[in-house]
Amino acid sequence: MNREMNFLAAALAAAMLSACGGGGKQQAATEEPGAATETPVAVLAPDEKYSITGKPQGPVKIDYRIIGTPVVGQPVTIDLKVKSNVGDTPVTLSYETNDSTAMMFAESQQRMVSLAFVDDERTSAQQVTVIPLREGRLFLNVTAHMQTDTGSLQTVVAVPIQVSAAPRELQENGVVTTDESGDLIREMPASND
Amino acid sequence: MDYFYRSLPSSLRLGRAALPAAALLLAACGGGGGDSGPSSVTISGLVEYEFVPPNPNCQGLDFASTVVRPIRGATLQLVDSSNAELATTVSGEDGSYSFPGVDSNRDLRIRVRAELKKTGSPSWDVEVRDNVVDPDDANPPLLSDRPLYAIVSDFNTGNADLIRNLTARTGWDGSSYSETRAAAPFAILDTIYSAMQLVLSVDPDAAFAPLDAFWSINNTSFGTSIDVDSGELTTSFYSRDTDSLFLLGDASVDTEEFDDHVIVHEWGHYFEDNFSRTDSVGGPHGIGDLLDSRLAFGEGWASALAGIALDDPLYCDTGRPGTTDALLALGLEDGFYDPRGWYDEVSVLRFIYDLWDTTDNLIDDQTGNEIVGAEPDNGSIGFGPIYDVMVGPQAFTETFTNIFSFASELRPMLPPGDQAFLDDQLVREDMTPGFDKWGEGELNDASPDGQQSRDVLPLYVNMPVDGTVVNICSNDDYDGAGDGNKLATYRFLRLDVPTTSAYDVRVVTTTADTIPGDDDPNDPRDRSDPDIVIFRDGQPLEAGLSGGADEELFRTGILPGPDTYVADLREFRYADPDSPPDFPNQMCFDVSFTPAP
Repeated sequence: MNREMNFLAAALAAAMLSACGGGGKQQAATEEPGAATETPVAVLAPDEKYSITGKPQGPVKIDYRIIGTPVVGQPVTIDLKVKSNVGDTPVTLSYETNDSTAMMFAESQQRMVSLAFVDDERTSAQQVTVIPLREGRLFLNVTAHMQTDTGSLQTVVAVPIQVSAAPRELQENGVVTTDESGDLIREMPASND
Repeated sequence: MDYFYRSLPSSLRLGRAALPAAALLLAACGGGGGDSGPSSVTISGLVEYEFVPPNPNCQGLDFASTVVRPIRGATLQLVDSSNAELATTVSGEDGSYSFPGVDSNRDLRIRVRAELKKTGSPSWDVEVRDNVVDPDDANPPLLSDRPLYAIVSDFNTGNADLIRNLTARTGWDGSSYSETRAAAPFAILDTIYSAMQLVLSVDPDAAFAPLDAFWSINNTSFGTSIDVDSGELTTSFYSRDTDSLFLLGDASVDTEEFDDHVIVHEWGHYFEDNFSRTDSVGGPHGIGDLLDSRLAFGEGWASALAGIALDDPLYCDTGRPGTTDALLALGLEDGFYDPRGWYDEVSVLRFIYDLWDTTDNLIDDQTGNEIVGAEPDNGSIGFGPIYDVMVGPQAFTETFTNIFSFASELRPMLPPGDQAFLDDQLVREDMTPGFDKWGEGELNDASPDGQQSRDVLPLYVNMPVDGTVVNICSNDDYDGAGDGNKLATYRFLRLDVPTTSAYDVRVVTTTADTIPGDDDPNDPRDRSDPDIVIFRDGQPLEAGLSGGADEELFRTGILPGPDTYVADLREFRYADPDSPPDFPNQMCFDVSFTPAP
């Protein structure tokens, strides 16, 4: 397993570092800030979930699986599995695209469904069908809604629909330039009062 | 073309060569200096950012209530038209700054960098950067070299002292983000600044390890794989590999810059990783999940720290801007999601938060009257002992880090009255006072209603190292999604090694794993795959992680003794996304440790 091999490598590397007295976090914490070297990692491996700790998710969880290869103009179906940790509290599922020029729903597709949890594990299986209208990495937002004593809670998952090899369209925020040291700076205008 | 020149209206632009000549003409006419003012001036003012609070009960962001807050402790640069730094300073607690002795009548730029830098004691090095790169860039910069956020303002120094106040705006136009989202990086920076103040309040000489916080308007959430280059993150998280925070910013899905509890939560993981120790297995977790005790502690700790650092008992995670979406609204005082216990991150966070907070849950803040039915929380030990145990015993414990190591090490550090208070908090969270760091004495075994739990207690199996075979089981009873990080998936072993020796480790699956309807019984992916890792004081020393079916057999290196080690054992198929759907829910293994000849 890649994950297993990665972990083994990491584990043994950590052990070696520990044995050499050079890898401890406490030691890093006591170094002068300028002296610390940063890990030269450009991209996290896609299966790094065991070295990351994410924010708490709500009590409803959504997993998905895309069936087949998305093609422009052809319906593509997504299997959804929704799990609730909140007893019998009703959960409603809604579907939305954030770009109507990118994707549309199949005519028969309901945009909102009330979920019935039938098994002991409090899970519900759903399907949603969309039709990509252009190439690129498109997103379907799936939101689970539930009411609590203090208001409503949502769990949102953005399902990526990759159509051909065209990349996702990225947005700009400010302008990238360099500072006097040649380091990259993303400059944004300040408001002057 | 120089930036200040480029910013001039086109009607005022001249050829570059014409500028010096124009200046000479102005001087000849008496308009360029001479007796018109001092040769140097002071540029001063405030640097601030807009902060958007949540609506009541975390129901989205309340842009109508946007407030302006100071940018504290940030680096300011004064640069000239050639991008040369003329002066640098650091903003004060109120966002104030001053550049004295600046040449008059010059076109300059103030750059406010989204960074906190301090050497000496205490020390820190925090930067807010953009992780997303151009997909067409074949050689993107290293993560640590990606663009640092800054706000800039161009101006002429004039011939008198000048007050220049700069504000980083949200870019919100009332219905969407239509302008540059300049406030976001500074909101993140200032939230981290607040968290650091909590540590400095009990450890004035703290040395903070370097931290990068990565945020982008392209950082979005989806699925199960992470690509930081494109901003596809799955969620906001802390990466132990890079000592970095990664925060969502996609306004069509979820943004984090004003969810200060979420930012401090992730910073809490940074703290635990760098000031203390975390043995958390990480991975997905939701409110109400029954978690591996190491994960439950790490998550509960991080959320409690958010409430403590911000002095705000309502943990808000708002959703898409412009909606009333609340992704999480968790009252740290009253947010219950049963079942409670040592495997529940909410129980851990309430335990730690209530040890700190001074609010008496039994008394109504507004009326002073007793609240009937409220649960006891009538004391506070302050943050000092919590910090001391985290940077002390918790960082060096021979056990795994969890609520058992934390609470059992904290208790003897407290005076008797506070010990009783701590015990009360444990009882409220359905834990058993008196447990030791190994979890011995804990009675809550997470039994579902009227059912018997499996493979939960004792937390550690006392594993002889003389060749004795012990049968140990792992299950996915609490892991319907196949995350591989829930209660009873990992089993803990305690190894008291009497003498220095290498050991032959043998783990053999004893549960039948031939799956009905299996199309290929010889396919190892359809078979049991036990994994085992041996740790000493949190450091992984030896691992049996092969993909071979039904067994792990290996010889360790020399394990010094006498000493105590721990190991975790699991069925890998419970974390394998390609695991067959009918894979058994419980797998058992014969485990033995035999001194090598």
